[in-house]
Amino acid sequence: MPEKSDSGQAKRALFEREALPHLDSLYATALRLVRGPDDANDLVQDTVLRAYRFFHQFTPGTNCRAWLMTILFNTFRNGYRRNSREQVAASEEEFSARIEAQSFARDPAQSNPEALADNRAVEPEVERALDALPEEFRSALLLVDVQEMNYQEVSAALAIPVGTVKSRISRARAMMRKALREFARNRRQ
Amino acid sequence: MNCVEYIENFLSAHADGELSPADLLDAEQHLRQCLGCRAKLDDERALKSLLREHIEMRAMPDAMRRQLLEALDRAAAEEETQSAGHPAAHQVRRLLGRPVLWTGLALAAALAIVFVSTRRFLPHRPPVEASAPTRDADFDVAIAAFDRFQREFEPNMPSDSPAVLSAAYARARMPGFIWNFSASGFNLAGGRLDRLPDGRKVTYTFYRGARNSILCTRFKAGNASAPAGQAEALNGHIFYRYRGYSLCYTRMPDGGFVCILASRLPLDRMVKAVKVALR
Repeated sequence: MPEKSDSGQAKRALFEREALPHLDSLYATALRLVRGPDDANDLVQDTVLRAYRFFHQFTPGTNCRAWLMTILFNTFRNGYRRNSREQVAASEEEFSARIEAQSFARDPAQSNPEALADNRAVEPEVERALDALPEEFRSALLLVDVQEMNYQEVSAALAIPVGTVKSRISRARAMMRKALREFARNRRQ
Repeated sequence: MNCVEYIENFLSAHADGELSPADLLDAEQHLRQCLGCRAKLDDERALKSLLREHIEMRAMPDAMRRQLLEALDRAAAEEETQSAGHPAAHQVRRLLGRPVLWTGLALAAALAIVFVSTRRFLPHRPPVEASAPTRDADFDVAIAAFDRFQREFEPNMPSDSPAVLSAAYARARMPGFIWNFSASGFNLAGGRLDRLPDGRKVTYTFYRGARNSILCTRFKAGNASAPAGQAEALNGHIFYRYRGYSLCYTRMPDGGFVCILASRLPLDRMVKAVKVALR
């Protein structure tokens, strides 16, 4: 292996400092896009290697996590979509049907009155509702509400106009609300 | 503006802080006269918090992290080899104009991708030493902030009391623990929530004494283990002498946060202050 040049070492050190703290965010997001940990690992690895290759295009001082998310979603769109999660609804109609079906399939843990009183009982419902969202809505919601990115950054990551980010967020929240209401109604019955 | 217009076009962006100043004025004017839409905005914000609090963000397993660092090592080495022994990319492009050569190149690239993605089935090399630059970067964040805030510290979080500040940090999903250094002569001056240049949230809690101060800096720092080069350790709190500062580094039990206390106090006095505060 050749001696590392100063510029190579500096690039590697800067990349470690700027990009590597976001591995968990990338992995958690990847897990919501593809089928399982192995696919998520591959997606993150491809993303990070691509980011390293094009690191000269990153502007220091800007949001590195948002830049990495843009690469993650590009990589996902260009090669991983066929491995995306099977249970995801493709449309709002399918989402409604799925939520209705799920709300009748009771989880035994949720029939336990103690579990119902506990706030943690909500957790699986939020997860289920999010997982059932059509992919484009779920991605937008995850980036805004969980990754705390702004609309401009989400627009770059998902390659859609800012106006579309805004409408997807609005519709995604409406769908989430509907699903959570449905689950809560079923719990009370 | 009527309710339908507010709900359809403004509500989500309002909750996300994405309205333009003019739209925000319009929205606020509508909310002043409409209790129903105000409740909808509260509901929208509650849904945001629900997602933030209940969506599980799984950390990348250590084994995967190691594989990734190895792959990065190899990519960096390959890049070095290419820049040392091959013509620059634009020269290659000029030379390889013919489609048949592009096909060969695409095949080579595809093979390289297969190589990279099958690497995880191959035996591991020891993980690369990534801690040194990370440590320096983390420590530099803490001491740069210390210098800045020693000149002037202006809280931007409610800081009336440790309990109030702690609750404000917790609402921002940051660690709420507030040190009590009063027995060592340092009083809480207040707290700030900012962002590091890479977008990570950071809290600064400042404690003032008669001649010295202590700054507590907290942010997420992945799963790295405690940096090497420690001078002393005390129940998971690790002390360093670094560029003329005394630092206390603690990996917090939840959420991948680190807490770095920075001060110009001599190290033994810093250790004592932490010891007394932990009592």
